[in-house]
Amino acid sequence: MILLADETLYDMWIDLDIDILYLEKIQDKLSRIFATNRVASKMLKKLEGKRRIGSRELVAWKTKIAIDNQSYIDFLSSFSEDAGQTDELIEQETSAMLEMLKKIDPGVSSDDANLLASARWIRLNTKYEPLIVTDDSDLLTCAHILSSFFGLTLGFLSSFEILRLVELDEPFTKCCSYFGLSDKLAGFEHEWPKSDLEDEISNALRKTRLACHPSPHAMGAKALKIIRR
Amino acid sequence: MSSDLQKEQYNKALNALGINRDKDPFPLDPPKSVDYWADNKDILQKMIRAQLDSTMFASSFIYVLYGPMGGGKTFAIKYFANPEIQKAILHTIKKPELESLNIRVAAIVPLRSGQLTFSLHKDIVERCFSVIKESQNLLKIFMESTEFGEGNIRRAFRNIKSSLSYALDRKLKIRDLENTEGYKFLTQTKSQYGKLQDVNELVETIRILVFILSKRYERVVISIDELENLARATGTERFLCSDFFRKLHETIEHDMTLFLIFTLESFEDVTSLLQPALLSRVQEQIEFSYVRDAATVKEYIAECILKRSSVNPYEVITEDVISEISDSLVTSFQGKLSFRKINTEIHRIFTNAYISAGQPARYKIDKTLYEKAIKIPSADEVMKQITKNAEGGEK
Repeated sequence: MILLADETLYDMWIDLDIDILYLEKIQDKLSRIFATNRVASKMLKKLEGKRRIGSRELVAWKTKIAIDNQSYIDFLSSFSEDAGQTDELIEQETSAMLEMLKKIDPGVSSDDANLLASARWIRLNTKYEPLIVTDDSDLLTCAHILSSFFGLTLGFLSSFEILRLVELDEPFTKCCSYFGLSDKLAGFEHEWPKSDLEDEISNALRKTRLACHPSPHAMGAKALKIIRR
Repeated sequence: MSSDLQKEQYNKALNALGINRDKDPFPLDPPKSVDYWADNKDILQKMIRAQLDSTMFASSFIYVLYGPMGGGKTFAIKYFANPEIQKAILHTIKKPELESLNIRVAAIVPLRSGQLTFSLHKDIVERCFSVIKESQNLLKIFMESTEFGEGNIRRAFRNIKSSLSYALDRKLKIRDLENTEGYKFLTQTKSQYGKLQDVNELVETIRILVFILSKRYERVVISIDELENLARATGTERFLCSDFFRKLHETIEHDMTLFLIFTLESFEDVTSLLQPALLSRVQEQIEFSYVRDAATVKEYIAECILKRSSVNPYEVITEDVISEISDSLVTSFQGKLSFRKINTEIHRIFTNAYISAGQPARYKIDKTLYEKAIKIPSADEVMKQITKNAEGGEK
């Protein structure tokens, strides 16, 4: 098994000021963590914009992300003759996935699709089972369904699940209080506006409908439009 | 007996042997200034070669020093940092006018990732500035310098430069250095210039400082002690630290020597902590191993008394006793005898002999006195005896 990190994973750990030590403990207890080229370059750029992070943490996280990306490149190289060519293949796969997914949801993220394409390549070309680690609610709720369009059964885990799995108490507590204090969750109890609630229910229904889709191959893209709403 | 009392007794014993207490031949920690060498001669030869290479060639070098605790690594660094020793080495190659600057820093046990590397950087920067601050020559070079890199680093150095002015005594001074925004930025304190962004910026800061210092000193020697603490750091920290050293060597091509010191018993242990890219740049690895033969111990004891205390060793202790002590130490420590351990044992023997002789004003350790001294049990032996008795009682 290998873990493919989404940028939200790094985001949460940095925002909660959880030391890299714990991420390395996950690696020791569970599996290696990889950062794809896109995730790494996006995160490195994002890090420079984080104002609250100190100099030491900034450099340490940059190093960690660079290490995870190098591990990813080394991993691809060990299963293909040319890592650059493999990356190109994954990009082509991303474009093909996007073409299909945009018919369902025009706002679908290209980076999310790229993560799925990377996981797909690993699953098809290596003996390892990729798990995508993300705290992105879209990926957590519907990426599994989306991936089934492409004949894949990919696994998705959130930081919450991983921390619980490897029993890291301190960051787990931080993670729980972080979600407990989020505005969205607090609002749900007291003053959730009607329009927000409608949107949430609509999104949930849409994703559930997608889960019940018939074979897309038989009816083509038009069928997908029908089942969308 | 408390350690203070032990120390007092040992000092009295030294005094009665005719040795000045300030020139303890067997210090338990390396003295502030080391002016003698009694350790392994092979190591001395390697270290001198490292020093000569540093002087003969302009390139920067990295050396790795490793070995068990108490093996003499820090002692060696202090020995070669001594200006008199430097002068003596340079005199032999007819370059007595050259001078090198020695900066010694120690790695900490990191509590968070990045802490070890950042504290090393901070210590080196602070040490460089403290040297510049104290030298009119260097302050003048700093004032005339325009080579300050780019971006925020440049701004920071220029900010410090703007604080340079002549005082009433016509001496150049940096006004309130520690509170300048530039200094705060370069030493990782909150500053209006923001924060250091990556390893390249950490290295660039030191490059500029070494550039200034190298106009006054032929070579800047940076010794980094206690790097075995990397074993207690995260993989990310180890990578970061290796990257920092590698880039220092890559960026500062001339005039710098890096000594990386590890209290680790094998070079394999060292390689597990450093990246291959850094290891490939190491000029030489020097092992400070355990003492394995009695002849070396004998020579060490005699030379310590002679060279450190300037006293004829055989006026203090007879030759046959030195031989007996050496044999006994090599046998009892079974290949795990360090120079520090020898020092500790000599402390015990000197003090016990002094007590056995009835604490006289003057004494010499001969065979009879030595035999009496070794009969006084050590704390370990007393503890073993007590434990044994207690176990016997229980049965």
